[in-house]
Amino acid sequence: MHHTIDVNGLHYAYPDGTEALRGVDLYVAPGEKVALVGPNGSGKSTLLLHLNGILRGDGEVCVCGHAIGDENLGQIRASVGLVFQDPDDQLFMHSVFEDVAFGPMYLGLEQAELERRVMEALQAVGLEAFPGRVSHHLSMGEKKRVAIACVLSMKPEILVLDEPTAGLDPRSRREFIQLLDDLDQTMLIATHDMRMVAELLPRTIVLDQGMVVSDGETQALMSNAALLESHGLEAP
Amino acid sequence: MHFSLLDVYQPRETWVHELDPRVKIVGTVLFILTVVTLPEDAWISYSLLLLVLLFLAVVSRLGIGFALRRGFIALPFILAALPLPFLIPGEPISILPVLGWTITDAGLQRFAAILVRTWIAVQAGILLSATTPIPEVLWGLSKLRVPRVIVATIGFMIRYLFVLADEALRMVRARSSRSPDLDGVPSPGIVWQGRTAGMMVGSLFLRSLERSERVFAAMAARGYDGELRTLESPRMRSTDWIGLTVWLLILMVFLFVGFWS
Repeated sequence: MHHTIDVNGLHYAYPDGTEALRGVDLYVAPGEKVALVGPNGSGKSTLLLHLNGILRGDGEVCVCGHAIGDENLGQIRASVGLVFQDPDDQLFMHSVFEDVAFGPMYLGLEQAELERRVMEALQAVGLEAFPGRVSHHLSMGEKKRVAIACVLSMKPEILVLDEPTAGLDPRSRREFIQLLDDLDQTMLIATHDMRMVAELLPRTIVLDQGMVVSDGETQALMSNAALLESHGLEAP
Repeated sequence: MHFSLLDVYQPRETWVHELDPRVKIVGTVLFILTVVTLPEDAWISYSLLLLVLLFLAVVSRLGIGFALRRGFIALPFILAALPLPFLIPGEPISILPVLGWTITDAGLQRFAAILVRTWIAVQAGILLSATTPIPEVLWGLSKLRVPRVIVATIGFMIRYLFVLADEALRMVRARSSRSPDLDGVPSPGIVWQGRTAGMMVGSLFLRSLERSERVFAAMAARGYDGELRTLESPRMRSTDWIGLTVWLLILMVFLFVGFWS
């Protein structure tokens, strides 16, 4: 059991020189569900893109006990499921089936196993009747679910989600939180949805200006009004 | 707020819909080749080809007028052939009033042939897209050894055309809501309007570029390694082979009729 995320002294600057991450340290234990909050532009999305090696900054990123390097990139990407903020970016194929099958196809699975994985993943998100649907015509809530199914089909050990509840209506949001609660992967969720954080995620990391400014129990954070306010956050 | 004017697939349960996509693609391409190979005055063959299309439209339960009407979408492109009746040498038929240009019989025939051929050929494409979902067409193309990069480019184009169109639609709405047409206020000049349109196109381009980077990140995150893979194929069934053979025979007969008469 090595479903850990271990980041040490991570620095990253965008090509135009903007410093997005300025020495991030964080550790997520196996099975933990952790929130990553912070104002817009604090570096949350940039940090998430480092966790499966899409971006490579200076510093050490260890996932599942392995430092990310060129030789294990494929392995890392199979074990870290990254769910993007805009499902239109993630659902780039035409049918739900093809999208969910995209990841497993690169794991080199046989057709029968591949189909089984796709159906399992769709069942896990409650969309087993959807494989033939066209991605463009799904509702936002459905698209988000399919996006999760896309990474679940690769059987990842860690789920990393960017703004999973943004743009959802209250009922879809409720159902989506329930779904996240039911999944047992290690999770790191970047979000502005403080109500979800309070409800679902026992531990919260606050990121501001590319640095971790607070890391601890969600309950303690929510009662620290001064700290929340100084980083542009609000208790629910 | 969705842009789906171009969603042409019409789901029905007929044997035309269930044919293997490879058969339908090859059949359509051969049909179009037949149409353009026929001699100019092969009106009997043209009518027969049109009849076959109408038959297919009926058995695939699209309705007899479905492809006929949509076929006219190609008309603007035929404008390019408009000078032909005046330019091709032949027996003069009549003279255009005012301008004084002469219409020749050979020219008119060539123009009419181009018109009819284009109309028929486009209808074949419309039937293909109405009876075959886009993923199946793309899958069929890749199984027919069309280079993967081209198939993927077509695929991404169709997938994101709608997303882009939605985005453009939102931009146009945002512009309209900030530029009301008020009584007594002179509307801005054409140059200004052109500049605005140009900036919107530029901004749409930048947004697409950024999106392409995010899509690539999403592909890489799921293991994409620079090589595009496709799902495995179901076998061609005997009905698919029969369909293809019958189709070939029909086209050959029509070609024969066209050249012989």
